[in-house]
Amino acid sequence: MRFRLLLVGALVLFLLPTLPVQAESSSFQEDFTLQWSHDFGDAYITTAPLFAGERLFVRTSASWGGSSAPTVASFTLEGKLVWSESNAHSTHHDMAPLLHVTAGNGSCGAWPEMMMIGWSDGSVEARSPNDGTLLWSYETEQVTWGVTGVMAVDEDQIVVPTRTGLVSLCASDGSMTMEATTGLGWRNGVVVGDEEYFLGDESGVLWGVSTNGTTRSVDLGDGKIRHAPILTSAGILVQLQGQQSSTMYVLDSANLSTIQSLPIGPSPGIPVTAGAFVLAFDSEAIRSFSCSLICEEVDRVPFLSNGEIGLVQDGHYMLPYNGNEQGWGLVNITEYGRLQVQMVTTGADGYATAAPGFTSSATNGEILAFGSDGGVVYVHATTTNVEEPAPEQNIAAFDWVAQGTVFLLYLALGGAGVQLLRGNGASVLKFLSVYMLLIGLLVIDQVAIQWSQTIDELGPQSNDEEWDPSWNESWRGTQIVSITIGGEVRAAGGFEGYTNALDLTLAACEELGVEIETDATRIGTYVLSFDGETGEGWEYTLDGRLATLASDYSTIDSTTRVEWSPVESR
Amino acid sequence: MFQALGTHGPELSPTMGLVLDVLLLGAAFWLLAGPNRRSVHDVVLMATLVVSVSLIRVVMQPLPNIQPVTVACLLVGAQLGARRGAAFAVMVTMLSNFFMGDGWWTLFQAGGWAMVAVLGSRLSLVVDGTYNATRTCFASLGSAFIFGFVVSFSILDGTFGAIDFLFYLANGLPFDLLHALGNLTFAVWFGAWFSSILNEQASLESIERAVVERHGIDA
Repeated sequence: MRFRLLLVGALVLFLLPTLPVQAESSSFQEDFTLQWSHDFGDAYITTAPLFAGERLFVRTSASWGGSSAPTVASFTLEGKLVWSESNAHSTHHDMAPLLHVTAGNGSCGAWPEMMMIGWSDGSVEARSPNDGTLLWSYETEQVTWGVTGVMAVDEDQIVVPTRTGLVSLCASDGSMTMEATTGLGWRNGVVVGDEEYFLGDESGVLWGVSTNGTTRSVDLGDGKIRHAPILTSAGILVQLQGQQSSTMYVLDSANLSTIQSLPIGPSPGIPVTAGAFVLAFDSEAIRSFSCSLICEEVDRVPFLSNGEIGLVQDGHYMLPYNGNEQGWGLVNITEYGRLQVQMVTTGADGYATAAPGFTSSATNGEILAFGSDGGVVYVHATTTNVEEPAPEQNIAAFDWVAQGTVFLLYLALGGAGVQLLRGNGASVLKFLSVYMLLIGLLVIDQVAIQWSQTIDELGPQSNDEEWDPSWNESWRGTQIVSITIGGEVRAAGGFEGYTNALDLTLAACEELGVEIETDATRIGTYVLSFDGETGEGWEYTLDGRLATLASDYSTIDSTTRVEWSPVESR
Repeated sequence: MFQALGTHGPELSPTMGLVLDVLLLGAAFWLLAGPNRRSVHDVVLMATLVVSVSLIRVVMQPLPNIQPVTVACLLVGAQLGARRGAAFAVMVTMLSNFFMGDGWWTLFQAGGWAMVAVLGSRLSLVVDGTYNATRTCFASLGSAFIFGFVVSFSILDGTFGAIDFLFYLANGLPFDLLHALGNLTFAVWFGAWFSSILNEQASLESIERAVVERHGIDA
């Protein structure tokens, strides 16, 4: 008996380290205040400010007309300038993200803590973060410009995407250990794979470069690859930027063949991995993709941004909005990949491409740094310091349901195994039934959604061609939304490009000036009210057919009519 | 009568709700009523079963389509007979829906579970006091789909065509499967125990049948 208790105790302890700590989300304006700012003059800040240790590092460029020499500067967290280095030879497009490298050693020697800087004249510098002392430098080829993409660390190597290819430099002294030639690149960030490096070029070619410099490539067609490819379990994810629209490719890492291609909007920004999802954004929307066996778009929110996106407080992401309504998008991605976007203003509002820099510590609280295209860095901080979580807070954050379910799954499967060994078939069925039931409960939401989508696709398409004479003739062949509020029908049309009923409805509400209240649940987002009217609930039809899914899971085509009405009016 | 049409069928006016409740309660009493006088034990047993199974249903409400009532109806039908099984189904539906939400669908849920109880009484799940676990497992799986089918009729409000209804049924299949899985779990874990509780008192119908048969032989 005592042994069994000990065993159960040990299992419970075994599960404790997996406890997730989730912070409460809060609004930016309430929590952050501007602490200080620094004006770099006639310059741009086109890559994210970077926090490292107790310092903030900012790099400027003079792309598109700035007169101030591109600079890398280091500040204390209070805003005091510590050191600053300019590059008189720069060709002004200095947007390669700074790379902080911690001290280490490898087969090619030992190196101290370093700040790696790639310049548009092709030089690569390793500087001391403390005082900016040059530790070593290496010159790469410059063709109009030089290094503009994100670098990477591969054990004791600094892997640098150059204008004409890729070099691998020993972190200890900058000696070149590998060089490969690819097509001309621009913001051609590199990613480190299992056995090779991947990067794209301005001709739409994805390159795989092995550590000995041999290359292989695949031409994805007309377009430009302007980001570091993302390695997912579904394959290598690459955006091909076209003239009017862009395409996201998923490639087989074994032979670089195309597994999937997904349409995305024009001028895409630099996508990032966000937990189990990939966040991509462009001039149309922010999109979340799930890339497990295949990549599929999970959610999309209309947005306009074309540069970087950064991880900030509470596990949220932030990126500049480049439309008329200036500000920053604060993006929360739920555990199911749904996107919740909130607009905030920071002072660094306006057209921008640099993501915010973010740091958090017990002593300094949470600090955010925004770089503007006006060459000013704005540093915001929380008014109260972040306290180290007390042990009891950890216990409060323990997800009992999730951990309990996992524990029960272990018990059920273990029980079934033991009973199988004992040859007790009835008991095996008992434990297996619990196991299957738990699995069923865990997956039912997603299975039901996928199943309903499949059923809807197989189902008879509505032949309801009824056209409301009050609708504008120019709406024919476009997406239309009508909402019956208090007996009055309000309609908006002429929409294009929306892929689910909720996004289309949100766009229509914005155009009609209708306030919409929604509720996000595990099985989708439901509309609670239009203009405050809740009624007995709201339902909608797609081309005259009653929808069976939450509106954000209902896929629509280019001419879908979404008609909302309170259930009591049916 | 009907105030409006909703996603679960027509929304009921208070008067119609009252009529429906009276109808269901009347049906339950009619099913329980009979020429034989029930013992206090019978009444208490039935009341306890109704209250406890209703409570379990309410408590398990957050779990999607996990319905302990289905297996209970199946076994009550098997042990106490079709009439009392159906009455049990109606009363559990009414009592639990009093907490979970009453409406047009109550009629179909009561009907669905009553059908399951009748099915339980006909499938020889208990023969000569011996509980047949295998047969109960299969019955519990099948009854999930029967119940789901019957309850789905509550959606018909005049605007649904036959094809729409078929697609509505198809949409619900994952939840029917989960219902079946839940039933199987209840059956393998609690089926024999629950059956033994009911088995302590011989079915009145079986007694009646035995008496009738004996008299028949005597005659």
